[in-house]
Amino acid sequence: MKNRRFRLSRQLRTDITGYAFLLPNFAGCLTFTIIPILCSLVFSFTDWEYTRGFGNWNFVGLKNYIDMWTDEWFLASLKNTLLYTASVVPVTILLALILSVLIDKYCIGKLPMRLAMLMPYFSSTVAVAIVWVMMYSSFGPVTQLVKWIGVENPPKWLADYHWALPAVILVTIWSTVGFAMMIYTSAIQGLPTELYEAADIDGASELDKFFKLTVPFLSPTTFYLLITNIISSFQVFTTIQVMTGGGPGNSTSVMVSYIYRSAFGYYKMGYASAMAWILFLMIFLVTLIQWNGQKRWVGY
Amino acid sequence: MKKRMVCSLISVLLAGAMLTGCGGSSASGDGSSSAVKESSDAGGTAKTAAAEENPPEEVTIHFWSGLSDASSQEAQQRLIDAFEEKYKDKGYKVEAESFVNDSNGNLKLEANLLGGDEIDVYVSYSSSTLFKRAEGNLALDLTDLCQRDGFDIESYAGDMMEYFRKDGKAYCLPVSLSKFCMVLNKDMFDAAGIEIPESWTYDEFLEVCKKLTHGEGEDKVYGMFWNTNGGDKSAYAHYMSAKAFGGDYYYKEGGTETNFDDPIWQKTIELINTTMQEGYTPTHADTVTEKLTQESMFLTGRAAMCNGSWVFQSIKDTQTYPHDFVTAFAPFPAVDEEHNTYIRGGYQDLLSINPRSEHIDEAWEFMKFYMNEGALYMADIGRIPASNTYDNEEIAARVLGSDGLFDEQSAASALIDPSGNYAVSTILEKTPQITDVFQEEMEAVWTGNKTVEEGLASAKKRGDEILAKE
Amino acid sequence: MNRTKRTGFDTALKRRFGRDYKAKIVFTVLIGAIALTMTVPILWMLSASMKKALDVTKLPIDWIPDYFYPDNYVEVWNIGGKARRNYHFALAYFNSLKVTLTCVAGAVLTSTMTGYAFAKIKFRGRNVLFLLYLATMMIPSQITIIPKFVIFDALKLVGSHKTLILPGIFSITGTFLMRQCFMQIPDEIRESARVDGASEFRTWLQVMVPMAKSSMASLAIIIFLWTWNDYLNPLVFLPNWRLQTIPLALNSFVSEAGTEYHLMMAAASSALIPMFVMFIIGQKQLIKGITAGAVKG
Repeated sequence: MKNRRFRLSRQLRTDITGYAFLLPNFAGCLTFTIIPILCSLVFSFTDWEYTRGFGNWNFVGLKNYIDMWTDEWFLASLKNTLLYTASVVPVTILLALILSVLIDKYCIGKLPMRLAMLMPYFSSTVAVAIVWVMMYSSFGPVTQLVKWIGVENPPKWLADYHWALPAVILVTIWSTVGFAMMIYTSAIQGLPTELYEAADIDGASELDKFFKLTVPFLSPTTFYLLITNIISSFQVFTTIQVMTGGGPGNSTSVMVSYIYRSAFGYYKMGYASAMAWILFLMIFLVTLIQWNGQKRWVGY
Repeated sequence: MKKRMVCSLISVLLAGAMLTGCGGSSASGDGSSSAVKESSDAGGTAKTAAAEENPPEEVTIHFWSGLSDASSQEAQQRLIDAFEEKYKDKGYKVEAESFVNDSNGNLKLEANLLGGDEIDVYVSYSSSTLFKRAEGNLALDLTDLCQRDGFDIESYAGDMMEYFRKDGKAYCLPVSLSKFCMVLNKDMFDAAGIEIPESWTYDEFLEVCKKLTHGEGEDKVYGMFWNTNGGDKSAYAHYMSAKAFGGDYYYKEGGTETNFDDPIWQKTIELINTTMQEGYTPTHADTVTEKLTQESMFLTGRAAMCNGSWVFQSIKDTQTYPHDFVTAFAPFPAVDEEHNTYIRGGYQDLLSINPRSEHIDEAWEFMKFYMNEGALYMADIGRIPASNTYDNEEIAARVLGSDGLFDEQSAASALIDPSGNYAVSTILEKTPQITDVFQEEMEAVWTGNKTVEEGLASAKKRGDEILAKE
Repeated sequence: MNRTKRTGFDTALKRRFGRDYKAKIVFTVLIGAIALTMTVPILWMLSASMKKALDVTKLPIDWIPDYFYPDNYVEVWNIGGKARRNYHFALAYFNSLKVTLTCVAGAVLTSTMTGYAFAKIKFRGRNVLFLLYLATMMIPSQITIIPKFVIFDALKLVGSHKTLILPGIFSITGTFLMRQCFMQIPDEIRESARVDGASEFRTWLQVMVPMAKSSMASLAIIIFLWTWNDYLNPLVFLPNWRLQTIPLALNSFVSEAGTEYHLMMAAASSALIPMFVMFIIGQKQLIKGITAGAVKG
């Protein structure tokens, strides 16, 4: 090892390499994602109405942030969003995990099955929404099924104040499972078969193998799905918009729909931005907790 | 080692090359898209400088409107063709772009007014959106142009224009004037021996609903269909109450308080609620869960009346919605004879110029043409021209068409003939929120979660809170 | 190994499907039933696309219509110029393909690079930066539409496909996915490649990427689906009908008077085809898996 004149420290070289890999992606993200987000932070401290043009606003300090906690629409949407996320995410991931493993191990005709599971994702949101509206109608299969198991007067689902949100939750789980399964499936392809064979020789049962081998091996994927699904659940918008429009009443109004309505229906861009940032803080907190927890249960 | 360092430097360079490579792929992507744009913009959007001699450089006027269905587009195209014909020697061309008149579509319109240069003339569909755009300098102040050409808007469109001026300045040209009214199935009325009313009260209306409802189950024919799934969950109750209140139907005098405690509102909501409870009309829950629409109810003969006169375009579209009954029209019922002052309706399409447009003069010509000569073409789809430069009979002929689909007399009186006393809204600031509150409360009433009194009281309380907030 | 008597049928099943054939059959049927329900919207879309206007929303749902009405497709694609109105659907199709394929290629490429860096290269600030990336996913995109528009306007990009492509080739969720993928690959593989003298870049390209193919395939499918069905961004950033993508074209069937579902579903059904193709291509990669890589020891 002669010639140490131009040798940069190892760490520095690693840094440069790292950032070089990062550069294209980062430059794009900076311009098209990070800067607009910072703009919205600025807006949240103003009373901007976007039709007035960029820059035509007055600063109002924390007013937007304070007002929202006495806004019944905001509070209702907050509650609905939390309920929605807490229901959709765990069920989707659990189902996806179990189903992917089952299909991989047991099913004949894997490709068509996987393709079928992904179908809801392919279809336009409008189509999915309309089909489910019809399925939930008085003549639809859901109502028929409920009647068949003996319920006398089935609720009107999407038009019922108490049932609308669960109905929408079901639709989301149903349409997202296939997607999560696809991710799990590709991860399952990478499972080390030798370990499974070794476990078989040791006489381990199926359940044992599942809990002690499969689940830990898939934990990085689970982590990914957990985070991305929480983020997207908090931000649900289109499906609900098309299925119920936030109704009946407030029962399916979620945060993003209220943010959208405030920004583009009531023209209160400043207020909407403040709500978006509160939403962000919530998601960020949840993610941070997950991130720190990953050391304990995610095995790399 | 040196070798390592060199490798790292190469990595950096390669990464940089990758960046330009990516830029390259998007550049080529852009190349082909701008090629498409240029080749199809064959005329070019060259600025015209009094190009009257031969050959005129073409000027393309971009016109954005909210009419997206086939028949409206066809009518609009006829208008554009007439304009291009008239201004052939000046080389004016109009290119129409459409947006859906909902919040997404209006967002698209407004974003493109804020930046980009794609819009010269556009349409606003309510005074509140027009004023928002005027405030934000997204609509051109037409005062100078009017003065230059001696164009007195009121002389064509009437005094109602006053309400559409902001601080006395005009930011739009109103090109159509509509009256909203009830749409009736004349054959069913005849069969039941009921005359098409020229005016009626709530009680009379209720009687008619009852008489016209018959049948059971799949064959049931409803007397009425309230369009509660179509964008207004309060069943357009304000169409009726506006007859008494005028354009500011949610407010008391002065606009600082809502008027939901007024007995007229009580009677109006009770009327609608009764029809739902007595089965003269599908319940709100059914309308929503089965996605009932005016087309699927009225045009199939399952309902004798409906309350949204924009179903007009669909009535004429017998190819998609075949039917053979005659349609008649009637004004909305009023609570009683004394409170029958206003007509629900007003200017429908408001044309404005984008101040950032590069073809302001040409856009102005188009707008004037539309208002005073072209709006006749839109009568084909039921949009009555606002200007007085047209012959009433010609308008009626175009509106009614020649297929015998409409009852001429009632159409003339309820839909076409101009009248006075339009209910014009002047208090606009918080109306979107008040509207949402009101619709939420009414939804609770229709679904039986609240009584009529509770719903109105709650609406008043929440509405007043909103008005009190800054 | 007991040699009990079994029926011929039993043995045949065992030979074909393996020892746990009973379980296989049960699960196949159960899960197959679930999978079938997933196909319902697509079936509805296809059936609606063949119906006349008023029959689409008729209840109870008429799955197999009494007639086939292919005129909707003629109308949408303007075959032979017979449609009442030109929806320019073919152009929208082409635009969608162009934008989506570019975004997929770009996003997979940049995400794989970036994900690898986050996973394996221990550069300073790595964790903080990654959290920043994650954080940007947490702001609802609707709120950044207007600032993005202002930026595009300043860069004079408005009215071109670049407004969709440029943000589209940088995917944060893609970076996340690839990071997780690379973190699953043992460090030793990278070490051994580096010891052999390969630069970081070569390690990435020749050793890591082949092992990540199945995740890359997943990512490609995800980006394809998202971009193909994206509605709000094209709505605001593509003002001209000549630039519009399929979701916007579907809007042509919506108007104040209501939605023409029969036409919209004909259009939407036509739009399904590339997604299927994409999935089937990606599926092969998914299954081929990571065995192409160099696994030592």
